[in-house]
Amino acid sequence: MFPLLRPVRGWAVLCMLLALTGCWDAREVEERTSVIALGVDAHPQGYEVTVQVPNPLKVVGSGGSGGGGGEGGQAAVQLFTGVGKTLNDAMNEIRNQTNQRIFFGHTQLLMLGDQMARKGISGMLDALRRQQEIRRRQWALVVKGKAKDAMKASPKLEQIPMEYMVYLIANGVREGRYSSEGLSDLYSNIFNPGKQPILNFIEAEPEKVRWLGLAIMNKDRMVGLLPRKESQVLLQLRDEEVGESFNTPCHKRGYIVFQPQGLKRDVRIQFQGIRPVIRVNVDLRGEIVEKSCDVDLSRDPVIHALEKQVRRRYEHLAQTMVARLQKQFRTDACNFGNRVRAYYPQKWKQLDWSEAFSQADVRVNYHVKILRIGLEAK
Amino acid sequence: MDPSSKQGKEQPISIYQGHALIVTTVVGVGVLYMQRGIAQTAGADGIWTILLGGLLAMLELYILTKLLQRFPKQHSTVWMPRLLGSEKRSGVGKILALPFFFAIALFWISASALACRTFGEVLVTAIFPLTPMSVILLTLLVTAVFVASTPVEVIARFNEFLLPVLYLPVILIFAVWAKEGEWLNMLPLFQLSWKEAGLGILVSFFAFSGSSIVFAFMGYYQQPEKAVKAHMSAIAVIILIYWIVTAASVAVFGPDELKRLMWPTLDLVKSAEFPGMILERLESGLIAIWVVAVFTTLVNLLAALIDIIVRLFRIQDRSRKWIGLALIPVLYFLAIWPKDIQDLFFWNWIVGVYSPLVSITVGLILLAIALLRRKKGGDPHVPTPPTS
Repeated sequence: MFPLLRPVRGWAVLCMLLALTGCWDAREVEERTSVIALGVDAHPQGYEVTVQVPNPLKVVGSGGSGGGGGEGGQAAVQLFTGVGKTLNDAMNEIRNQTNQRIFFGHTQLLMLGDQMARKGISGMLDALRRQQEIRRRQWALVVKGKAKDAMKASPKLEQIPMEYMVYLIANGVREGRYSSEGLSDLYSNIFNPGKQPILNFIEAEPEKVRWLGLAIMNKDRMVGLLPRKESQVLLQLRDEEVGESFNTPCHKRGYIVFQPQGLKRDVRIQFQGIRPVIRVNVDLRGEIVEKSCDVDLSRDPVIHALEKQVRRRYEHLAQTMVARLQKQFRTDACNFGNRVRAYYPQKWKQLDWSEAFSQADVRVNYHVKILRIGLEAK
Repeated sequence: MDPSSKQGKEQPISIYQGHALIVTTVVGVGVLYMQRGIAQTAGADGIWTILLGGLLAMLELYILTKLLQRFPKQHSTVWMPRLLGSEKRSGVGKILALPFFFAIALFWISASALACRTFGEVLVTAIFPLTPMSVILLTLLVTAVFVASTPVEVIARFNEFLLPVLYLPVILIFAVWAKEGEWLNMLPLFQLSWKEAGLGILVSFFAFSGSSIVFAFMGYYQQPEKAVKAHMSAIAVIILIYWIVTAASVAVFGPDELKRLMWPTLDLVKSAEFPGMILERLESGLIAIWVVAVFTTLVNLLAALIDIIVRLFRIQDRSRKWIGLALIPVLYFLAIWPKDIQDLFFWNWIVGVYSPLVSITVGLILLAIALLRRKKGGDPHVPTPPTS
C-alpha cells in the first residue's frame, strides 16, 4: 500500500510484531493477589480495612497438592489489615504487605462492621464507586462486631471461609429468606430519594456463621437490627420474597407450621389530607409442614380455621414490624415512599417523607391459602 | 446497457450501505455516556425526550437528504460550486463553497478526534489503567486512517459488514433491562416544565451527531431517489438503540443514581449476571464490541473528510492514504488537547451542539439558494471530475 515503505517493509512488519507482543496492563493471574472479601471497620483513625485472600497453593485441585487434599479454613487464606484515615489510605497499608498487586476484581463480599455501618458508609462507598475494579455485583453485609473478626471465622464445610458466607447468603436468597440486595442495590437505594437500603446482618462465631436479621438503614447509616421473624415479614412487604416458615398456635393446644411458597403483594396508597393511608394486601400460598395439635387437616373447615390463624399471626407480625419501623427506626424500609414518589409526585414534593411515614396509617392484610399438607393425609 | 453497471465505479454505494453508514456513524462512543447528560437535564423524562430529540435528528437528516436529492449522483464538490457560483466563472462558486465545506469538515475532524479521546478515556478507566493515552490514541488513529483512506466502496462495504455487530450489545442491554429494571424507577413521568423539557429534548438531540457525512457520501449513491427511506430508517434504528440504552439505564439505576455514573452503560452491563458465573465481568466484552462502534464512527468521519479534501483539491484518488497520514498529527493534537475529562466532556458538548447547528444551517441555506435559483442536478450523467 505504501510504496515508499517497500524497501523497509520487512523491518516495519518486524517492528509491528514486536510491539504486538503484549500490553502495558498485562497482569497474569499469578501476578495478582485476588481479594475474595473486603471488610471495613470503623477505627479511631478512620477506617480499618481487612481483606481475605485465598492461597492458591492450599486450595484443593491446585497443582501443588497434586489434585488431592488441600487445606481448608483459615489455613487456605491469608488476612491483611490496614488502617487509615481514608479507605485508600488503609488499602495502601495492605498494598505494602502483599507481594503482588492487590486485585479486587474477584471480590464477592463486602463486610461492614456494625460500628462502621452505624457511623455512616457514604464516604467509603464513594471510594468503592470510583474504583472500576470493584464489582457492583457483590454481596454487602453488616456483621455483628468487627468485620475483621468475622473474617477469622473458619467454617469447616467450605475451603475458603468467605465462600461459606457467600453461599449462606446466596442460598437464603434463593429460598426467599434473606434480602437479595447487594452492593449495586445499596448504591441505588441510597441515591433514590424514595428508597431505603436494607442489608443482611450476620454474626460470625469461630466455626459458624449465623444470619440474624436485616440491618435497617437510613440512607447510609444503619439505624437498627430488625429481628429474624420481623425481617421475614419485611421481605414479604418490600421485595415479595416468601420468607421462612412460621409456627402458628393451633386453636387447640400445640402448633402448626406454615411454609409459604408463593406470594403476591399489592400496595395501595391514598392520602387523607397529608397523612398517607397505606394498605398492603398480601396473598400468601403455602403448605403445612408440621402439626403438633390434634386436628384433622383433611377437613375443609379445619383448613379454613387454620388459614385464619396463620393470617392473624402474619398480620400481627406485620403490624409489630411496621410499628417498629415507624416509631423506633423512623425509616421507611418497606419503600412505600418510592411509590409515593412515582405515583404522587406532587404530594412527594410537599411531604417530608420520613416524617410522613412515621405518622402514616399502615395496615397489612394477609390472605392465606393452604394448598397442601405434605405427605400426611390427615 | 444497464445504467447501474455503467456507473458501477462512480456510484458504488447501495441503499442499504447508505443506511448502514448513517447508523454506524451516529452510534459511537456517545452511547457509553449520553444517558447521564439526559438524566441530568430531564431525569426519568429522558425516556421520552430521547424520542423527540430523535425526531429532530430525523428532521435534520431529512433537510440534508432533500437538498442532496436535488443533485443526484453528483458529488458535493461538484454541485455546490455550481449552485453558488455563476455559469461563466466556476472559480467564484468554488470559493463561495469553501466556507461551507470548512464548517462541515471542522465538525468531522473535531468529532473524530474527540471520539478517539473519549474512547481512550473509557479504555484507561475501565481496562487499561497503566497504558499511556498516546499509545491508545495512536493505535486507534493509525488503524482508523488506514481504513478511511481506502476507496469509498470499501468503506461502504466495511459498514455494511459491521452494522449487525452494533446490535449485539443492545440485545444484551435489553436483557439487563428485563432482568434488573424496576418499573418504579421510570416514574414519575412528565414532571418537567416547558423550559426543562425543551432543554431535555435538545440535549437528547445533540446525542445524534454525525449524519452530515451524507455531504460526502450521498453523491455516490446508486439510487439517491430512495435515500429518504434509507436515512429515515437509519435514524429510526438509532432512536431505538438510544431509547433502549436510556430507558434501561433509568430503569436499572433510577435517574438519581444515573446522574452520578461516569460511564453508565458500562455499569449497566456490570449489573448483568450471566448464568453460571462463566463471564463475570461483561463490561470488558462490551468494550471489545464497542471498539467496532467507535471505530466505524472514526472511519466514516475520516473517510468523509479525506473524500472531500481529495475531491475539492482534485487530488489523485490513490493519494488518499497520504492525506490520511497527514491528518494523523492534526487528529492526535486535537485528541490530546482537552486537558482533563471534564474539559473533554465540555468539548464533546460543544461539538455535539455544533454538529446539528452547522448541518441545519448549511442545509437550509443551500436549499433556499437552490429553490431561489431553481437549480437542480440536471443531467445525472454529467461526468464527475476525473479523479484518476
